[in-house]
This record gives sequence, structure tokens and C-alpha cells, in this order.
Amino acid sequence: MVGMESNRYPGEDQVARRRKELFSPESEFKHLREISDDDLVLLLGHRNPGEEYGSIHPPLDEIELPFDPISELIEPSDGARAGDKIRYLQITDSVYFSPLFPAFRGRLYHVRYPGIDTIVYAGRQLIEARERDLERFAKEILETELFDPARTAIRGITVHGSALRLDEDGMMFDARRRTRYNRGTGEVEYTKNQMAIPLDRPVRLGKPMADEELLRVSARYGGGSVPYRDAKELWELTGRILKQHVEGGFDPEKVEKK
Amino acid sequence: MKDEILKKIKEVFKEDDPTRKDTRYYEFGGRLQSETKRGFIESSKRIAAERGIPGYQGGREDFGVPLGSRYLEPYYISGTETLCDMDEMHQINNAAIQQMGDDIKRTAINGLDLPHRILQQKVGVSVTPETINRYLESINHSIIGGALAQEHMAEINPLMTRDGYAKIIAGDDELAARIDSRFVIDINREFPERMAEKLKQKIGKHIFQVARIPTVGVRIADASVVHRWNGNQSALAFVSAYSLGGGSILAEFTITVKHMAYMLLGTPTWPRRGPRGANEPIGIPYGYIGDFCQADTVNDDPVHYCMESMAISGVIYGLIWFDSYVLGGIGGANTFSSPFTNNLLDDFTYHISDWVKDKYGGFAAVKPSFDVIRDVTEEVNFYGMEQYDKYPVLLEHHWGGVIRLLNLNAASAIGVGFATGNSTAAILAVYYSGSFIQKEAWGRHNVGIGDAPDQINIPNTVSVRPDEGVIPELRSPNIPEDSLSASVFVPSPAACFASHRARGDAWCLSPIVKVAFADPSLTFDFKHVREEIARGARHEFIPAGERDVITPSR
Repeated sequence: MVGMESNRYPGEDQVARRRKELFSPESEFKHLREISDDDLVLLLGHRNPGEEYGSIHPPLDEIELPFDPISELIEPSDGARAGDKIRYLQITDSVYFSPLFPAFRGRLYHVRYPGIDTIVYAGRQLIEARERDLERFAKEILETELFDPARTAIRGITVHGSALRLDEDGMMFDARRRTRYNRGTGEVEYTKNQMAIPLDRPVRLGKPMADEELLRVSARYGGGSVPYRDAKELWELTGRILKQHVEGGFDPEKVEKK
Repeated sequence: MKDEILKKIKEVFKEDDPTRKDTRYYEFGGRLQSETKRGFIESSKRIAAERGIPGYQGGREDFGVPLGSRYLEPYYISGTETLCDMDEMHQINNAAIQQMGDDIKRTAINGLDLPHRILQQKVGVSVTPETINRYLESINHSIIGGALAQEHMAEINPLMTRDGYAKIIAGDDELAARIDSRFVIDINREFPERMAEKLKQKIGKHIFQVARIPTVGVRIADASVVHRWNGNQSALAFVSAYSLGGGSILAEFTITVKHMAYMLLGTPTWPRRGPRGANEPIGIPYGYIGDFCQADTVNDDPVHYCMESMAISGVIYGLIWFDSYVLGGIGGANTFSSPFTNNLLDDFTYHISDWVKDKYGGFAAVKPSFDVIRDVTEEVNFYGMEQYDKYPVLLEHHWGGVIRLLNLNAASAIGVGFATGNSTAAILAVYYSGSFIQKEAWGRHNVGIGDAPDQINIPNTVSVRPDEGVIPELRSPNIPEDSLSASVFVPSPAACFASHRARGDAWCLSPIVKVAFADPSLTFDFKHVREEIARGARHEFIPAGERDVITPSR
């Protein structure tokens, strides 16, 4: 509506403000590292650098599709138009102030990236899309402040570690040891791809953020961030949603009348 | 967090400072750090040599998940001093856990009033305490495989079925006193006086038969065999004890005995949930979990009763149904044993129990309202999450989101149940806890289904249309319009048993079921649930249904 601004999350504390930023499609996130196209392909592990994209159907321009009114409304993505296979990127987020958390990744991805599917767990979050679209989205996800090399990790298999204590270098535990912290350079290197298959050469993702910086961009309550009990507007809203869910299920008019 | 619980956590993790956020990894020797898993590796080598096919290959490093990259902490069985490896809580490795499930599955309850009425009114024979005793002798012969009516029958070796029997429940002391005491579940002996009086009053002058099919019966078939086994053998026992014959009258009588007053412990499953027969765990109503549990007969502490009941819920819905029927044998043992290991749920629950008493002046002392649901659920979640933050070893121990949700959802249901004595309010706390507080605080969901169960089920929580819901006591994972995750179906019974315990009730859903599981002849002792599981973990529990009578000894 004219003159109204979207309020994308309740509350005005630091965490709430960060969540408003995360869930706004207009937000631009701080660029922290460059990942070459070849390095990205290596990390994802779906094809070899330089290899053609795999396809599951001919390009849309070459096939005749039955009438579908939705196709009149939505422009196919580049990957869909080319017939790319659907590929995935899965990210694990440490509770110790990964810049983003699985449930919020889901919301952020839906707001920013069209044509995706996403599955949210407790420690990890999948994004699935046509391969060339996925690579485009993955660039933003991995090159910006949405990713920290120590507290966020690319893991397609054996994903656990999000709730575990950190190691002596401040790195999140990984049973498959895909990453190593180079104490000489202070940088994190991937020696295996997301499926934990060893790489021919390491891929460097740069230095981890300082704890203070992670705390500053944190989107979680508790644990040194804003205390749970202080998010009063949030809990007011969740309580209201619960009540309306129950009353609306019992008798929709109880909610509609209000 | 209570000092004694924190002390055990420190011991389990060999950690002096449980507030430390960092530790070391990759130096514990992988699987080999565990004596239990070392045993698995050695056993599997012998097995592979004997059968010529490789099986468990935990000793290999070139495939599979590298277990043991981190420290494999042992687990205390909560409320006991038994410390064991995680593998001992797997349902296949713990004979007590199996027996708990078998003892529930193999229980058949049917009313005897209707058959007695037909005998007296239509057949024209007298039913007296003496004839009932004769019938009970007969049923105790037939229920374990003895022939009664037909000749030239192969019979079952009684050593194979030594745990099968039938008894009766009667609410009337005078009647019970006239029945052979070997066949009576004595309410006065098994329950404290305050509970016994309520139970007897509700059961009244009715008589119910409680039969236990031999454990081996539910090991060679699914639990739906129990209804038929009990029905046929009861009918034969009546035929024998009362010398019944004839055509139509016998048909009417046997139908009555078998089906007319039979109580299903678990309903057959809606197709959408995967077809299972009657008495399988998925169809057991939440209200029965607190009735199976007999801890309230030996301990006055409501939290103790709730923790013992949660252990039953974790085993029946979690380990036996979900981890076996749904997950196919492995994947859920750590999660489903979490309500009864390392005392964390106990700590959360004692906290909210004390808080409720302080805030409302006692149990069931405040009317249910959305404000109360909110206040209690938020308090227990804030407290629990603060403990996880303060002691990172707790978070490491409850390493999966579903483990944390399951336990805080259960503590929330117990808290609201204690506060209001209202199971509908309490079951709402299960959903409010996980799908709102934890998700929004931490930005984390559940297992892969996310918060679908919560968002789908909440509008149905006050529905009594059977495909959408029913009152919490009658709900189970077998509701077609529900979506389920472990964080919902394991804690949900807490809404029932906590509420009824807060009100001082003697049972949750059925006085008959409550009395049936007070029976001291059961193989599993439902008065001491976690101690029994601990005996299983220590390999000291002797189950029923073994086949060594008919096999060569190894």
C-alpha cells in the first residue's frame, strides 16, 4: 500500500533488525570474498570445471509443451530454459553465530531466489535449483557475509556439527573433515567437495570473521546475543498466531469476525 | 541446572568446565574408542568367517560414516546409576525395551459381563465364583497352547509359553475375594489406597479378563494376532468350563466372547500411515501411556511419574514404532532415548514444576487459557535454551534439533498440564514450544519435514472429528490429517499424563488399562520403567519369548 513500509519481522532489537534485513529482497549483503567459477564448481561437485551442464530435457525453445497458463505468467529461469538438471547446495550453520541459520535461510532464499526448492532442518538447509541458476545463487550465498568459513560449511552428506563445541581453531566440527584451517595464512581451505570427495587442489575461502563481527550480524537470540526473554514483541506475535490458528481451526468465523 | 545433574554431565563428558565452548576432535580413535563397538567389530569378523558374507564392517575406514571423530559420550539412564554406551539403548540391543513393547502388544482385555449374561439368560447355566474359577483354570490352559475341546491336537511346549496367562480385574472387593487369588490382579495390593478406591469405584461390579498372550506369539506374528488368540482360547475355555454345545447359540456366544467386549489397546492403522494391525504401537492412544506407567503407585513425586511415562513414550512410539517400522532399524535411538537419558528432561521438568507451583500456587490451580499456555511454555523454553547456551556440552549431547525439540516440547506439555490439569491446553504447548519459540529464537527447525506437523496440526487440536483429531487422550500417531514428527508424537502423551497427575486422577484414559499393567506377573515391571531399561542396558534383564527350549545351545 502507498505510504506503508513492509515490516518483515517483529521487534526493534539488534536481532530483529538483522532479520528484517535478511528477509528483504532489496538488501545487499557485504561482499567478503571472490570465488572463481571453477572453484565454485569444484565445491559443489556436480560436474567438472569446464564441463557442459547436464540436461534432463531439451531446451524449452525446442520442444512443444502442452498449454499451461502458468507458463504465460512466469518467465522460465535460464536453467529451466536450457533444460538443466536440478542440483543442490546444502549448508550447515553452527549455533555459535553462523551468520545465518537454517530456518532463516529458507525464508531468505524464498524471498531472493525464484524457482528454487528448499528443505529446512535443524542444522542444515538445502537449496535446489536448475544447475546454472543454483551456481548464480550460490555465488551470493558463499561470497557475502551470509557465509563464514569457520561457522558455516558446505555439506551434502554427514552434515552434523552445528550444535557441537568448536575446535581449538574456532572451526565447526565436521566428521568428514572437508575443511582445514591453515594456521600459517589464517584462511580456511576446502580439501573435499560437499560430498566429502577429495579435491585435486584445495579451494580457499578466506579468513573467518572475528567473533565480534559474527555477533554483530547474528540473527539468533540467546547465547550472548539479545536474551530470549527480551524479544517481547516477537513472543506477543507468536502467541497471537497460536491463538488464531487454534480458534480458526475450531471455527473460522471466530477469527474472521475480528 | 541442578548440581547433581550437572555433575553427571561433567562425568559423562570427562569435562571439568562444562561452560567451555571449544574442545578437541579427531583424536579419540574413531569407533575403537568404544568398548561396545570394538566388540561389534570382533563379533562381526567371526560371523563373516562362519557364514562367508561380510556384515558389520565398522573397522573399515574406506566407507561409511567415520563414527568416533568426536568423543562418544556414555549415557546415564535417567533416575538410575547405570552408565552405558549409546548402543545399549537401541531396541535390538536392549531386552527390557523389547519386552516393554511385547508386554503391551500381547495384552488382551475383554469384558466378561456380556458372556456371563448370555450364559445365564440364553444358555441357562449359572455363573458363580466357582464356575468363574473353573473357567480361569481352563483359559490358563488354553491361552498357552493347551487343547480343550478337540482331540488329537498338537500342543505348545509350555516352556515356550511360560509367560502367558489370564487373570481378572474386579472393582468389587467381595467378588474379587471369592475368585482364586492366583487369577486376580489385586487392586488393593497394587495401588495406594487413594488410587485403589477411585479405580474400584469406576470399575464397579464389572469383571474384565486380562490375558497375556505368550511373548513368542507376538514375535512370530504382529500384534493383531492377540485379539484372535485371546478370542479363540477364551471361547474354548468357556466351552470347556460350561460344557457348551449347540449351533446358533454357540455362534452368538463365541462372537460375544471374542469381539463384543474386547478392548483394543491400539487401533489398526489408517492406510496413509502404513497398514498395521491392532495393538501395534502406532495405534495406541496417548492416554494409555500414562496408564501403562505404574510409577505413581510407588512414588508420590509427579515429576518422577512423568519421567517414567516419558520413557514409555520414547520406547513405544519412538524406538519400537518409529525407529523400527518407519526408519527401518537404525537412525533414531539417540533421539528416542533422550527423554530417559542423562537426566536433562528431568532438569527441565523440575524447573517448570517448581515455577508452576510458585506462580499459580499449586497444580491444576489455574484455568486453561492462551495466556497460561504462553507463559508456561515460554518459561520452560527460555530456561532450557539458556541451559544449552550456558553449558555447551548439553547442546553437544542433544546434537540434533529434533532431540532438543522433543525434550523441550515434552517439558512444555508437562508444565502446562501441571498448571491447568487440562490436556487440550497441554497439547497446544507441544506445538507452541517447537514451532514458534525454538524456531524463532534459534532459526532452526526439526527434521526434514520442518514445521509442517505443527502448522498443520494446530488448527486440528480442538477438533473431535476422527480424521482430524480427537481429545488428546484418544489421539495417537494414527490420525490421518495429522502430520507427525518425533518432536510431536513422543511428547504428546505428556499432555495427558501430566494433566491427570496434576488433578490427582488415578488413571488417564482407562482404569482397566491402569489396573492391567499393575499386574506383578508381567515380565516387564511398569512400576520401575527406567530401572528396567537400565537392567536391559546392563544385560541383566531376562526377557520372555526365547527359543532356547527348542534349539541346540550355542
